[in-house]
Amino acid sequence: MQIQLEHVYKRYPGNDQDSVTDFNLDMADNEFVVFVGPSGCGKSTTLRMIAGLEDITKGDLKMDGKVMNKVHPKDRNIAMVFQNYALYPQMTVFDNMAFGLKIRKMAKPEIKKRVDEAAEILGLTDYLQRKPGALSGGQRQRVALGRAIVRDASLFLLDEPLSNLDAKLRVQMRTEIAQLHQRLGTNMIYVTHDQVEAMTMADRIVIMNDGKIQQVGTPDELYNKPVNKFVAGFMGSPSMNFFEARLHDGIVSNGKGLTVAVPEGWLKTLVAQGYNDKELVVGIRPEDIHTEEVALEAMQDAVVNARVEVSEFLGTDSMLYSKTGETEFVAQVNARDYHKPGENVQMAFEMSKAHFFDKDTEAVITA
Amino acid sequence: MKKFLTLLVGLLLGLLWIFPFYLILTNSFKTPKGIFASVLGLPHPATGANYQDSFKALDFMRSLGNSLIITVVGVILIIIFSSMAAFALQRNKSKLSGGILMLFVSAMLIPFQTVMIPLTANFGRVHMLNMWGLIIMYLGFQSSLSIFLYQGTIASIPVSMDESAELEGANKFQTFFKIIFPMLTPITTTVGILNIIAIWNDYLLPSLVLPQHQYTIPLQMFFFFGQYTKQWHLALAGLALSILPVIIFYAFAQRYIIKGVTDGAVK
Repeated sequence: MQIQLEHVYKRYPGNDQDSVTDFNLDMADNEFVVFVGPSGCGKSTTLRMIAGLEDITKGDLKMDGKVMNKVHPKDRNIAMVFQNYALYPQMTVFDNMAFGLKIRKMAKPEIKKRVDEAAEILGLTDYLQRKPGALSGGQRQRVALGRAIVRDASLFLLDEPLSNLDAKLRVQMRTEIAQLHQRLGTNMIYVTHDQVEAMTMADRIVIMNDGKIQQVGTPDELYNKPVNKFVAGFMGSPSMNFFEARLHDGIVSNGKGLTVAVPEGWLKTLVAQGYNDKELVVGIRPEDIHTEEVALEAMQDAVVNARVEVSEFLGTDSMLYSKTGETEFVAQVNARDYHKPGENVQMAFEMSKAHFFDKDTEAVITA
Repeated sequence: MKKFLTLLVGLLLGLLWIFPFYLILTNSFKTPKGIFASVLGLPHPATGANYQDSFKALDFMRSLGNSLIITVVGVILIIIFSSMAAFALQRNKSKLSGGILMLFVSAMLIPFQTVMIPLTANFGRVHMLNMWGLIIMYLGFQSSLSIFLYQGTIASIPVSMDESAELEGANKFQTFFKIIFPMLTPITTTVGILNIIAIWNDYLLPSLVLPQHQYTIPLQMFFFFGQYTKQWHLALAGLALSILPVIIFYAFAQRYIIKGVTDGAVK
């Protein structure tokens, strides 16, 4: 199914601001789209408008070209998985999954067939006669998914479905949902505030802030070509380091101890766009700051002397929360280059991978 | 020591509660003379004749039937209407529904005695001074508390339950009766018990409304208390008879009553 949102707005009665502003999205058949953003950015509201649980204030929602704004939720052929699963506690797992089909007066043998199939896919066959209260968090999550699967809906909406699970289970369910999408081949829209979930599962990510879409793109595009400071800072963990700095004589310095040279290619672009001798925002990801000998030699004009304040050993990597002069930043280095807090370490900024943003608009500066 | 004290206090309280029942039961088997000879003693000689006479005088089966119809029909209607009303008022977040809810709650503060005369007068005008009129009155008087109790519980049920059912194709009634109402069982038990007690035991309102052939058990009991004579031996046998249905009800519903109370506590 193709889904289009055209200039969609949402304003709640009594509010003088839009909760969702000019939302535009073209969703291809079988696509897995993730809406991501901080709490209150309008992602759940948008999802609920697609489901029909909220009215659309302005704009159109189209499914296969047909305007759906006024179509009742039950007639949109949409299945939704809620954050708290919304399982009916008085019904068994079987009845929970069969509820929608019974309401739609489907024949009993067909209901049984569908529920059994879904239970098989989700590994719930042995639990069909249990009530939700007697299930673990992960199993409840699966029942909620099962309820969506049996409906054979053409669009799945998932509203932060993993946020009530523990970390390990979350990773496991993430893979299961991704596999499920491949297996079923239905459109899915998944809402989360967790950028890792977004990155790992999505075909495309819609990143939102303050009710507005910031960027739409593949995980790779969002990570490597963010259009503004917000996107750059939101995607990636730990987040990108930002420095407000002034560009002069081929170097950027923030007057608080950070001074690094800008590679030639970037310098040309920045100068051409009039940023010479002006303030701008430099962004560099933690993994683009190095401590290896090779890197220090190769990037001699972008080496800083830093003092490690806090260090986290993560097995394959180490996070070094460091300070040079008054400037704080995080470096993600190989675990072999672990440094204790208090050590003075030389670090090289790989400026060819840096991002530059306009200080006022916070938009990325591109060639 | 503490355990012993608890036991002692419990025992004393138990005795206090049982004492009236002891009085009713023992005296109901005594002759009128026997009662005046010794109120506290055991019946000597014991006679079952009081029960036979009382059963006849009370027209027990008919008044039991009247009591049952009024209580059962009344409580069922109260449960259905007040739970639905509470659902509508809780889920609809408009100012109007807030106002209506406040109206119900504040109605609880109005003493019954202030409205009973105009109420019976008006019901008389529309020829509803009978058990069906009485049931409608109960529906009005008892809804306030019931809606209030239901509303609190419904507020604790996530709206996503309704929304999920709606997306699955259920209409509002299906959502309510198939999803929400079953989740209200603990509070329904509470509402049911409170209303059964109130309606079963009520004397004043039925005495104003019911014609004699529709008298309930409490009204019939008054038969033994004339202006000049009080037939204690029959009255006590009648009381014992009237307690019987309540005890039978409790024996059957005990499991649910206790479950209702504890479920409410855990949540």
